[in-house]
Amino acid sequence: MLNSENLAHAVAVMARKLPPFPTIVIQLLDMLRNDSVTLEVLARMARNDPIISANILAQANHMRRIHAQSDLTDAFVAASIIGINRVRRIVVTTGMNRFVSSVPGGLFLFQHSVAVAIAAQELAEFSGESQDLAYISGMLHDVGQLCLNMLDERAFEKVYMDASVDGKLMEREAAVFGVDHCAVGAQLARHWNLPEQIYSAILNHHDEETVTCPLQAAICLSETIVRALDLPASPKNRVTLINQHAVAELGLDWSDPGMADLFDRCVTRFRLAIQPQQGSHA
Amino acid sequence: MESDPSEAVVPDMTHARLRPCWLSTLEIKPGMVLAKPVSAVSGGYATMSLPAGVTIAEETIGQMIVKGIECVAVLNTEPMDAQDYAVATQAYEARLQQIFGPQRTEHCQALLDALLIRGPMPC
Repeated sequence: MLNSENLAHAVAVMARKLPPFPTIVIQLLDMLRNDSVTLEVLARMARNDPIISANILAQANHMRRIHAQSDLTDAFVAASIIGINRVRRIVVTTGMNRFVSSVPGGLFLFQHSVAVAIAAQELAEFSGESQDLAYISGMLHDVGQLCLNMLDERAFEKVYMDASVDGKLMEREAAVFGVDHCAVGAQLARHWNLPEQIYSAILNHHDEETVTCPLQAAICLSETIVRALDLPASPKNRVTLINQHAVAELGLDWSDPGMADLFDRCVTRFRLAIQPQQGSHA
Repeated sequence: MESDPSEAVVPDMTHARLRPCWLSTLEIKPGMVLAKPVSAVSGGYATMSLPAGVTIAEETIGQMIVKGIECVAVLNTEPMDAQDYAVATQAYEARLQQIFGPQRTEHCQALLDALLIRGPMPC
């Protein structure tokens, strides 16, 4: 049974059994601290990764085919067409897909993470926060579930199914494993030396009572929004509580017409994002 | 505080069916008409500002993509048949009732009302 005393050591042990956390995502996080990073630097980095290069080419060629143009074969040219923001998203999304693809239930976890990442980025844009940090945090917010799944896949599945009925996921996880996936995921983020804001967002993304920072508020509400929009479609999707402090923190009003646009944008982007990627199961 | 589900707002179907289509900038084509303004900001400066009603040109698409615009709203020129949309709305509302459950807080009801008024995606 995990507890606050043995969690750091247990997570360090589990981290060794997980697939290696993509180095390229760590590099990207370092680069995000530097505003002067250019598309050229990012594309050169991505060029060394054949799967990321293939996904950059796939997005550029998707657009070119709509315009009846011939396919590109040079990832650098493709990157210049789709722009630095999309290249960043491809780096993070492909890295995370690779990370979870070998784990049972990895497909749903990946698609859920993509949905939360998109919603978090949209909320960040709405409220003037860092869109890149929001997207990366969204991709990583449930990473603790990988560890719980690894500890006991059958018990984890039962916890998840039972919680879909009563909404008590955290309590059920803590009862079975000793701690919940938020605590495990946050510890994993610390193990990987990820930024403190990401640690806080992962640790508190199911906290319906408090707000620790705008990023945590965005991840918390993104979780609610993607379940409400049934992204990805799942009988487990339920909305039983909403963190009103997070709503106030981001200045949201559900009845604002801008929110309907935000919902439509989330659905539109999610549909495109989960189209099969090169070298992955998504 | 819990709300009575029977008090749920009745959605305006026509408005929802005819609302603009959101498309990824990787999927838009020249000749489509912007239904909502598009703007991009970099370093605190506006780098693109297109009003609603503008017809999208080939070169504009490339500029929008490079400036990091993920998706845009275009006019819904081929709206879904009203009967088909009514069927889609029925399924959409039934699914929302499952997701939000029979007993919901006032705050959950506010989100549910917004989603009911929005209706399913028309495109």
